[in-house]
Amino acid sequence: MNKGLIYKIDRLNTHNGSGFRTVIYFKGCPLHCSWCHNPEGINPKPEVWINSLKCMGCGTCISQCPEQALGLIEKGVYLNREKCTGCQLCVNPCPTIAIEPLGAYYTVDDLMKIILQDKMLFETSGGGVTVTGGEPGMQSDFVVELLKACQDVGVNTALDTSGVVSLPSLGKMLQYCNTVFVDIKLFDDQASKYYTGLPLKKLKETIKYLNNYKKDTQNLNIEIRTPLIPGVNDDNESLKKIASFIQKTFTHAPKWELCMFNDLCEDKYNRMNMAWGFKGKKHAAKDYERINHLKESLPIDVTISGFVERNNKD
Amino acid sequence: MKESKVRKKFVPDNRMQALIDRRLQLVVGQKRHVLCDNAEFLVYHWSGKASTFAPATGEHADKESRIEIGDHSARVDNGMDFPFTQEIPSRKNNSFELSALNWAKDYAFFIDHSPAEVYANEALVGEFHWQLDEARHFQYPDEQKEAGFLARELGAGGISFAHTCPDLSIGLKLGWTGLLDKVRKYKKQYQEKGESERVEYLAGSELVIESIIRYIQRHVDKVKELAASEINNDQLNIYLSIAETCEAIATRAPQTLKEAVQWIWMFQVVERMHGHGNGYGRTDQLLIDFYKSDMEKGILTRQEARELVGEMYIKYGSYTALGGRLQDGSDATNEMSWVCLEAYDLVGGINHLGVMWHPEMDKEFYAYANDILTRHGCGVPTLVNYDVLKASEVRSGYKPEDAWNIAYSGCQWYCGVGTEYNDQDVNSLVLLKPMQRAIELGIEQKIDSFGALWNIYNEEVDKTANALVDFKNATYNWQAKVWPEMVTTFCMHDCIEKGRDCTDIDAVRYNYTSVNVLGVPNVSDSLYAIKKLVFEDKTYTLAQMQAAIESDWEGQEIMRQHFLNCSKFGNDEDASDDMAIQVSENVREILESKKNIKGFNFRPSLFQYMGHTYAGPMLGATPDGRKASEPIAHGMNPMHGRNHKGIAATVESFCKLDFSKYQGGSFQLELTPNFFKTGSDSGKLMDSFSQNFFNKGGVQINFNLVDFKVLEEAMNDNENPIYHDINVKVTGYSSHFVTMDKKFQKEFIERVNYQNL
Ligand code: SF4
Ligand code: SF4
Repeated sequence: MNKGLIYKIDRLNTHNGSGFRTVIYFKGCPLHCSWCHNPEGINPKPEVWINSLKCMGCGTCISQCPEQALGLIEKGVYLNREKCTGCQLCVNPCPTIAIEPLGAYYTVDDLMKIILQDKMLFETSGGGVTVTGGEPGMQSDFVVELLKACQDVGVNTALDTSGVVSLPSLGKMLQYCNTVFVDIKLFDDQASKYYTGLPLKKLKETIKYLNNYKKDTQNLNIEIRTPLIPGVNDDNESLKKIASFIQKTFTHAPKWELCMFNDLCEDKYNRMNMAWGFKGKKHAAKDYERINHLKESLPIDVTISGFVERNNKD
Repeated sequence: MKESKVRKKFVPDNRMQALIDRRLQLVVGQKRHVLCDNAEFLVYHWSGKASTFAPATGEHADKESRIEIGDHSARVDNGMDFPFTQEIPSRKNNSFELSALNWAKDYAFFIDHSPAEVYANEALVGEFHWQLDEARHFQYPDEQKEAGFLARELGAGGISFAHTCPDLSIGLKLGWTGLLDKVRKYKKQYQEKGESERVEYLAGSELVIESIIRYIQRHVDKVKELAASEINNDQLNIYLSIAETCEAIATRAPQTLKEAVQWIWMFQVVERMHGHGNGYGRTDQLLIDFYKSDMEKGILTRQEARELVGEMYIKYGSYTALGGRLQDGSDATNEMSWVCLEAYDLVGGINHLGVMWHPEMDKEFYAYANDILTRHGCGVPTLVNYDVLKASEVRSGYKPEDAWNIAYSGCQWYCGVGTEYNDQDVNSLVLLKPMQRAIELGIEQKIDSFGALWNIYNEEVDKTANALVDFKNATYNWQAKVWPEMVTTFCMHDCIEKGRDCTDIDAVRYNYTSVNVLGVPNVSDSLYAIKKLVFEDKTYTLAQMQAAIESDWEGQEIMRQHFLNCSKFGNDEDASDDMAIQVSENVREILESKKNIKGFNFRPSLFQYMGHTYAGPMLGATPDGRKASEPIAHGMNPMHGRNHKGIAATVESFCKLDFSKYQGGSFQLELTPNFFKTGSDSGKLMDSFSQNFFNKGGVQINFNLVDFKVLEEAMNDNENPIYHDINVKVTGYSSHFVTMDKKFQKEFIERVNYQNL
């Protein structure tokens, strides 16, 4: 039986589609966005990371590792990612559960068991299942099976794609999708190459494909999401470019959402032994105001999400 | 959530806003705080000192050791003790007797010397500053105390005081004068039969009602006096209207919604004056006829109705219930249910009302309840599953003709309206104690299997339960003579008819003894870890573990981590969840096998309102990897930080228990605002979540929407007025966050923090 490599399953999620959703995170992504909030989802192989807050430096894990990838340092244990094969043999012996596995293989049946626990919630809240990543399209055969299994039992489905996906695979997945989310992050080829590692060509093809698909089948809900990155695409000009592209490309204007930026993922970068290029950058109340203001001058409708108002000192 | 940030659906006018502002001022001025005797009282619900509950003044509250548990007090503390304490008849003449009549004379004196007060803008009057239980000297006989200390030694305790639910429809129908006639009628009957004890009780009741009528009459005098010198026309009209209303309820049964609401509030005032207070039943059922009749006559508008109920909520948001079913099983939601929720939406703030959901409930009404809950974000209303409440009462032995009329009446408890007196929420069984003894005995006896440990544990729980039974019986023997609850009794079925106080033996219809069981998740997590690490994997011996616990895991961090990271209740893992079921079923079966002298068995509730915060250091470290300084689990909720699989998995674990076998077990849900996506319909999501939870068998949800960073700031900056209006549902009760003891604040923040990781 086919298996999918999944690094997180989140139930009761309200952020990735309507109602309560069970969100399934597939591991592996063709892009390398420098602001990625799920850096643990990029590598298409199993990995581990170490929660240094939990590690007490007991050394138990070190002798378990067949690759000598672990070593003690002052603050606990250090992982050499060059050596680590992701075998996850170090996970269970750790007494403090400081080593967390990233990525486990699931069958469709395994997932359906989890999904069906919330069937009642999906029905009453208008929710369902969202597959995201990484890029689910990298495991499209499995995703197709999963989405089909969901629809077979009446569970609403959504696919969240980076747009960098083979079109035949996308087409197969869309057959079993109620909604597709696609990210449009940048509208400058050079910037795209610089920040995500790939030019825009592929994404543009995907968007056109989606528009045609929708024209042919009608019953697909398309939603565009743009993560707002401070200093990268959160200026008037970039957003206007994206807006006019959406306006020009789609026959029926899709929903468009701007997601405010936060820095909650900084610790993930430490755990992944990766550098985080957005240290200290997050959208504050004044940015929220600015974007809200800007919204008025955009040619198409857009919603703004992801900003948590702290507002304590007033 | 901050009250000032709430988007209310109904906007208060200037008069209502003035009353709302005064409510907050009272809180900020610390005039509404609830104190508790000492930390021991929180854990065992008895400390051997006061025989009362939550004293704030007088000789029962030692200023050094008392603890602030919040500000959900109905009384307004004016900072003074009752000025006539030394003149209370039983004190002055040194004539304290264990008798209901002796109590009644003191009560009548007390209320006669309590001022009738009327404040600007209010149309609903009645405010009190003192409770008789703080001023009257009273103690149980020594035999009761001795039994209490024995029980505490073994891990149990409790008082018997209030915590029931009178049926106010009795009083609304008869009025004070009608109640007086009823008392006199039965007194005469028993006089003829020569039953002196009952006659004496009813003679006491007569004194009490007469004093209440005088008290109401004094309010009439007071407003008339104020009216005489009032120049503002609006205020003058309010005074005149109060005079009319109070005059009416002093002389006859209430006839309009206004009179009915004033009657209900005045009942609460004069009842709470004898101590603590109760749940006050199903407001929508109590008021619907008055509402309809006023509307038909055209003497009331919906907004006026909202304001009337709203004013009562401002005075004090008592434990009350809405919704549920009628006797024929149909949905009980009516126009008045809506008015009550709208009234809350108008005045906001702390309130203890509960909405009793069932699958056939008016969908729009339930949606509105969830809308309010998420919009106001402070646990109002509490959501409870009516069918589970009823099933649990039927299982206890309620007759169906009584069981349908139950009401959510306190933190996690519910009560047959006017038919039961159960000590809900005031008995405690600290389950960690028998477990600790079992471990010690197990080491002594060199046991080599988990089964052997379980058998010892079972015996030890039984011992603790027996000690509690003895203590309760010693209390029941004397309760009606030490502290009859006469005002409550007026609205209890069968009691005046029998000439007996509702606390007495053979008085109310149902008198099971309910017991809060403290620490079930800790005990089950501990036993599971022992089973796995000591008896299955043989990683450690029982003695090694015990030595580590006794030194609070000092120098044994690896061992502690092993115990801590065994499978834990709350993650939808069958192994640990099964243990939680086994542990709770065991204590339930043991309690249910015991009878009190009233002829009813004991019953467990999987809840304890605040003991978990203080119990930690008192009980020491535990085999679940908990250090002594950490709190223990709140009720049946998993220890914070241990349900690492998220809320959905916790719900699955929680609902593996059959709540119809218990007397409540609330699910505490704390979410930060970003749980709900911007622009999503959080009310609808909550509606869906709660119905799903109830369909799985859950019984109660206490929900808070809080930003723990803000709470952290508030904790460190208690005096700053910007934090004064943060309301939270603490466990089963609500409070302004900043008025709680620091320890509670910390525990609450940790809970919120973990739930949202
Ligand atoms: S995952 Fe395998 S290779 Fe990597 S550190 Fe752990 S044991 Fe070593
Ligand atoms: S076993 Fe766990 S706690 Fe011990 S050093 Fe390794 S990661 Fe840290």
